[in-house]
Amino acid sequence: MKIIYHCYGGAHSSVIAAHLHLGNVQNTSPSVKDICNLPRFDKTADTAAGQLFFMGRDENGDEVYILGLGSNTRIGVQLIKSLLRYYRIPDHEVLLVFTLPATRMFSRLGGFISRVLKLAPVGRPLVAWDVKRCWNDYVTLVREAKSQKGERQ
Amino acid sequence: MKIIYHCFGGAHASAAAASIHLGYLPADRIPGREELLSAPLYDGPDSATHGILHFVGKDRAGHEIFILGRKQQTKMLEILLRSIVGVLGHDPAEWKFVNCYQSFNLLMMIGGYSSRALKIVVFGRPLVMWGTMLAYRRIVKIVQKTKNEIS
Repeated sequence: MKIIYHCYGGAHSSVIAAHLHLGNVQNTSPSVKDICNLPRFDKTADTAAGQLFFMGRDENGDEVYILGLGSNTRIGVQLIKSLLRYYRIPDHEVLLVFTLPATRMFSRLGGFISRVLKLAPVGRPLVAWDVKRCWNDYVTLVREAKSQKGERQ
Repeated sequence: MKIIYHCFGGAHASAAAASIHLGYLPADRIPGREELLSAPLYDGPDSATHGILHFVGKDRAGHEIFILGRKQQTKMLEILLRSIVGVLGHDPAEWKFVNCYQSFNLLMMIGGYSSRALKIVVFGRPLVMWGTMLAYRRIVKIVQKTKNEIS
């Protein structure tokens, strides 16, 4: 099975969710520095929209990916579902999880400052601080994704 | 090969191109209104179907022909398709993207938008058909160029 965490830029909320899923970070809130140091955190360029990145395999051997779909999430998701239908891949083989609902305003602002304005020293800590504030939302999101995954298998 | 003719809405330029490719519409003359309207998916898909791949048919050489409405997300959707196809274990190079945007004119834009997005079919459809007829030779050229590239 493949789990795809997707958000706007594929640089922040999806990365955090993927790390939580893979157990690379604990459910208890980490420090801002730890968040900044997570692999791929605040790394994806805004030109990489649509590109899947493989983050690792979880405890069940399922593949975890991250993806940024820009402002047109619906169109991207419809294309993915079209391709799954075309290749006759059953629904339970690929789970799409939208991670943007776990974010708040400062994550989006910081993400914009870092990735679009290219001011990572300002934007990165701002996102990380906001991620820390919303940590429980991420934990809930990933827990729900995992239970959804379990139901499908 | 799997060929995707794409344009903004996936309802006019790309639908005409796919039908020309498959021989449902003529390549040597400009079709009439009835012919255009009978082409599969012509003035059919609306904004709710953006991003959905519509399979139109197989040509004589066995190439599969699709149309896609992609708004302004051309680059993102092409990267996404190649990326997903690769992850699913298939060959991304099998897919060819053909942009039908260059065949657009103002009539197609206004007519297409009125008919598909605003749902004022009575006003939009005649305009977009007129626009398609004006752009027709350019659409045929796109299809011929595509056929040459894949043969």
